[in-house]
Amino acid sequence: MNGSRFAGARGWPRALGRIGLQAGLAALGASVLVWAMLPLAPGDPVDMILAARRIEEPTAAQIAELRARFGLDLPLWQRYLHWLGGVLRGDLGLSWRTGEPVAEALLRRLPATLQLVGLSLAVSVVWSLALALIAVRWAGRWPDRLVMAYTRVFAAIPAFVLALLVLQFVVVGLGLGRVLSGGAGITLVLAAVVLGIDRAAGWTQLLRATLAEQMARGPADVARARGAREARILAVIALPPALLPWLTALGISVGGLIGGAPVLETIFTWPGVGAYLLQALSVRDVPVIQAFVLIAVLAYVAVSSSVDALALLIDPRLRAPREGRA
Amino acid sequence: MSAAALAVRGLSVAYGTAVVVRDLSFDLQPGEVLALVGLSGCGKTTVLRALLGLLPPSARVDGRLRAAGEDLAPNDRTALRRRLGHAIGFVAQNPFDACAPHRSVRAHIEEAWRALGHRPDPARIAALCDRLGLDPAMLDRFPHEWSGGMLQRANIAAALALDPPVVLADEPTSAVDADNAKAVMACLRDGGRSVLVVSHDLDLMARTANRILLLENGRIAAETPAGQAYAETAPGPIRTFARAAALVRPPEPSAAPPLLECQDLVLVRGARPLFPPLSLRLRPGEVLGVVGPSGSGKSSLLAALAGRLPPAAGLILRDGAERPPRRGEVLTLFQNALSSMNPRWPIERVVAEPLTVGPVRLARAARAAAARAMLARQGLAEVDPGRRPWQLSTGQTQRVTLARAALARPRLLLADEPTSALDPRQRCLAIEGLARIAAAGSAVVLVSHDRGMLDRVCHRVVTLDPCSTMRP
Repeated sequence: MNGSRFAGARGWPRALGRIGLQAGLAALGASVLVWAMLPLAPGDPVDMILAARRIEEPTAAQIAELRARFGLDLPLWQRYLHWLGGVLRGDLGLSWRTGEPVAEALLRRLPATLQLVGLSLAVSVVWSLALALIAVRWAGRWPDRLVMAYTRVFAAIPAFVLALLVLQFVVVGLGLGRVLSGGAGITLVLAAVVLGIDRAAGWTQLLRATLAEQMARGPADVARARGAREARILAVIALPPALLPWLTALGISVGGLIGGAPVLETIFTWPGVGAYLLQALSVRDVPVIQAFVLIAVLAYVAVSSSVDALALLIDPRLRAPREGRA
Repeated sequence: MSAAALAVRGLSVAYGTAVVVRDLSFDLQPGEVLALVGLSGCGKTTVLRALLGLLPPSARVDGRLRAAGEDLAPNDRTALRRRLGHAIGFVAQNPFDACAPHRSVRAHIEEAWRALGHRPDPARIAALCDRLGLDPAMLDRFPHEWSGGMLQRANIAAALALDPPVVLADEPTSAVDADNAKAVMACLRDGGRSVLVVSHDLDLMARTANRILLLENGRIAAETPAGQAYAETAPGPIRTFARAAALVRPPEPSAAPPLLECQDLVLVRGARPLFPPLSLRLRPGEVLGVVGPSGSGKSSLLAALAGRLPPAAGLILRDGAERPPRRGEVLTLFQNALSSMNPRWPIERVVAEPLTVGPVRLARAARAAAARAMLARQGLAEVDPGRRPWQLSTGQTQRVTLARAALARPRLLLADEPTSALDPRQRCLAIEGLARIAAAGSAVVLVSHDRGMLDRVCHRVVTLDPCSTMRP
């Protein structure tokens, strides 16, 4: 089957092009909304900047200087293009609170957050895949019941509650890692496992249901009649079509994963963007918030486009041109 | 036991206290095509699935089975399947449902080897393609790019890959058109193989099998050599079965002027014409059959006659004038009757619905009485009119839509494969219903891929020859 899977390659370029175009349009649309946070926010930005810097009685010269420096005296569309051009050059503006470039400050902290989010994503993908396969392989027996019990409990527990429990029992109780991590590797693993396992509960339920459905359908029955083992049917016949809804759900919740990271980072005192972002939120440091939201949105668009492309790889019918058999 | 290719002794299948197959014994002789025939629910598919170890764990299976010189116990499903890989090939009913959609047809055929941990044999695959008339270049395409008839042949190639002496086939022809059905049956028995085929098509089996077993309530009710299934000397139950499935032709239409006329009608899909220019006339009470292979434009033709698809060229005249159909003039019956009904309405309300749109508003009680009378005329008198559509059998739901159509009294009734999901008895009842509607003065266009049925039921049959088929 290797090689032959890619034989029906005729629909590829067009389908991939469509995904790329959609991703580009989504990113552009999102950039307008993210930028609009500033002009749509109530109050004069200059007042907000002054408040963020705790300057209570500014002089007229200070206000004019700030206005010119942040480009606030230009018409809206120029301000957007100016901002977009800056973003494309990697310039995310200046923090209102500290006056330093946002891009530099975020770049210092972003790798740690990406490490956490990436590792937790890997944990939940492997975890939910493995559990769903085990549950369906032994459907109706104790491994299945155990998995279902896990998914029900963990789908109901918020990640931060789990994180506090892990801190209490694993870190304080067993003495693994430190409460104030300062970036120790063991903390990264703990946080990623907590975030990943919590997130995986719903995905496991979904994948188990679609796998069980595929195992009861015609292709699986035909493979059974040909003497194939259940494990092979599960992996070769049932898994690929069952992956499609699971991948879609995964792509959708990556946004939540990124948005949820700051809370966990704070609990585990992980030196990611979390603390920086919370500080920015408390004084409404709009450029920092904008930059974080923009990065989260772009990551989300990238992940869901990859999911769409993966779906093309799995299901040849999606590659076909739109007309075709009814 | 005898030297039979497949010997079944005392096979019983039960779900809890419900016995589906009772103490069934038969031999499949080497080189024989044996047909298990019966109505829906007679247990014929259960027999096949029991022999393949495919019944769910909730089924209790008893009996003995001897195949390829080995005694097997059908109640140990996993062991049975592993032993059967070489001994028995299996061809499923719907070829599109048998193939995993994400794998090429070549991978589907190679799975015969891989399932048992062997390496595929390219020479054997090439030989099978040659024998079964498959284009080797198509093998790397995916199932959805194949036509039903060709894909069913590929499924037969997959079943024959390991050269099993016995092939079991579950309604192998029900998803392919009539021309392909004969070819599929010929492919199955190719090379003197023993074939056990489950079907409800007595007609096709009488022509293509050697011996027919009629199943009723999980028991063998009668047995006959296939050639004598329709003879006077056939056993009583077989004659009853054949009669129950016999189709009636409605009375000849009146000489009234045509209510619909097509002149050099051309329909296109994309830029491609579907069929050569078509001219036809329909009189009140006339039943016109439309037959053609999948993709030949049968459904497009119905859409055009219903006024939903503008013709690319030519004219559609209604009462001699070019005008769109009036409200209530045209009604369509669908293959899947259930999907054309509101699942929350009792069937009485489903049937009475056409009476709510006419110029005269009837009282609710009058509408219900009319609906009940119409249901009774469709042989549904004993069904509670308060039931919901999904509580009925497939055959009953199709007759509910016929009762609704009879009350609606459309001038033109378009029926799109209304009988393809029905067993012979239900099909016969549905056709009777259609004939009754035609006799009441409606013109009927009946689309089907079953040429034999159309020839017996319709006054005239139009064959749609595709202009060019992209798929083989």
